[in-house]
Amino acid sequence: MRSIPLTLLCVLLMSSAVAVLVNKMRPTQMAWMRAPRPTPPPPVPDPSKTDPSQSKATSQPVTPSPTPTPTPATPPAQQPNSIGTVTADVVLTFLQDGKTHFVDAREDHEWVEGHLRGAIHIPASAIYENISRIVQQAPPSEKVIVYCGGGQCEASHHVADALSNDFKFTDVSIYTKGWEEIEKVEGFRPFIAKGNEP
Amino acid sequence: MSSAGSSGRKAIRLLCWTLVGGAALFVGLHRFWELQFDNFGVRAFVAWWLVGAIIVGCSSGFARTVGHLLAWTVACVFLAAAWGKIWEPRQFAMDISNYKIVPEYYINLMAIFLPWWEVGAAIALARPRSRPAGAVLIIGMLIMFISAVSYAALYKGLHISCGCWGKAGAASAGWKTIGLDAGLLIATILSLVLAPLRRPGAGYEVVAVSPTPAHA
Repeated sequence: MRSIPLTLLCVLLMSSAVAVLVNKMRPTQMAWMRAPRPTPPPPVPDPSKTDPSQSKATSQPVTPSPTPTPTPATPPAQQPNSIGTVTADVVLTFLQDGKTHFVDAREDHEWVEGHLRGAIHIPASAIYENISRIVQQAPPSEKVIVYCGGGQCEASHHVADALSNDFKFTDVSIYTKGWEEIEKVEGFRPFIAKGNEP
Repeated sequence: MSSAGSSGRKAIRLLCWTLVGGAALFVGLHRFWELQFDNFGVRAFVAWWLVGAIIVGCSSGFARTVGHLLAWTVACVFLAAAWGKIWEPRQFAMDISNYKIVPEYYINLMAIFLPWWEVGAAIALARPRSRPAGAVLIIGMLIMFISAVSYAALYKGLHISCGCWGKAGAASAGWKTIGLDAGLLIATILSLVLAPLRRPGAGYEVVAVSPTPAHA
């Protein structure tokens, strides 16, 4: 094959054909087109708390979540594979309850610096390698809250998407403010572990 | 005999430098670019490189040998990088989405096809006859990677995984990634310059010259 464009076209066509064939043969075939991520519903505050500021730290005020007036005490949407968001007071309630599984989606060095006690570490850069950590511990019907660094961090969304879409967890929520808020809120102090402490 | 002996010594010397250079490359990839070697694809990359380097390193002709080695190295790096992405395309799709460049609708398409294009380009680059086409493809992809990392990590300041190695390593996108890609770009171009494809019929032809007949 002496012509560069012709060789180029042949390489691309053959590679594409192999890609199509391999994807079709996979046990978990990947969808060709990706559906846009749905907009999450507004976060549901803890229905037992009437004044959200009671659980916040006094040393540094936490900026309130920019959401409209919260709806009356209704649980997050229970439709299959839907992902909601939660606020700090809800997370604290679930932490005290001890029945919810928490997933830390940050990288290893961030986990070592500090994480929620009992959280399962699934870094967003290696989700499918580490997903067995939660799949073996929790049935898909149990509640899971995923957090990452907060702010612009998308890691928690990736892990939550994987849990919900690929592993059929039905009650997955994202704590969007994440570690950024956990460090500031006084109520989280007893629930913080460091290093490789579980 | 003496010319054959010096050729042999030259080839052995070249082979030793090749192996030393290869060791430095792997140590650099591991220490600086966080490539993990506890992965079948990466170990295969090391093995492929060693086999190819031994075959190529034994040949004479310094410039052509270096050109072939550079092409072989770039091809092996691309094969190693593609392996992790082919093994787990869902993780690669998430790495692509982190860049926030590709419309979400097309992310899966890119995650499915791009690793196999890397494989095709690597094989084309490794074969001398298809090297120019393979080089065009690889140079195009490297320019795309450098642009994407520059835009997302440097311009927008996103702290994201580069997605370079797929599941084989979680290097972060930044100057190191740009440096690696730039190095691969230079190596690809040099491989074309140092080991160009010989056209059939080119080169010297030895013509037997019969002695002039003695004049009577």
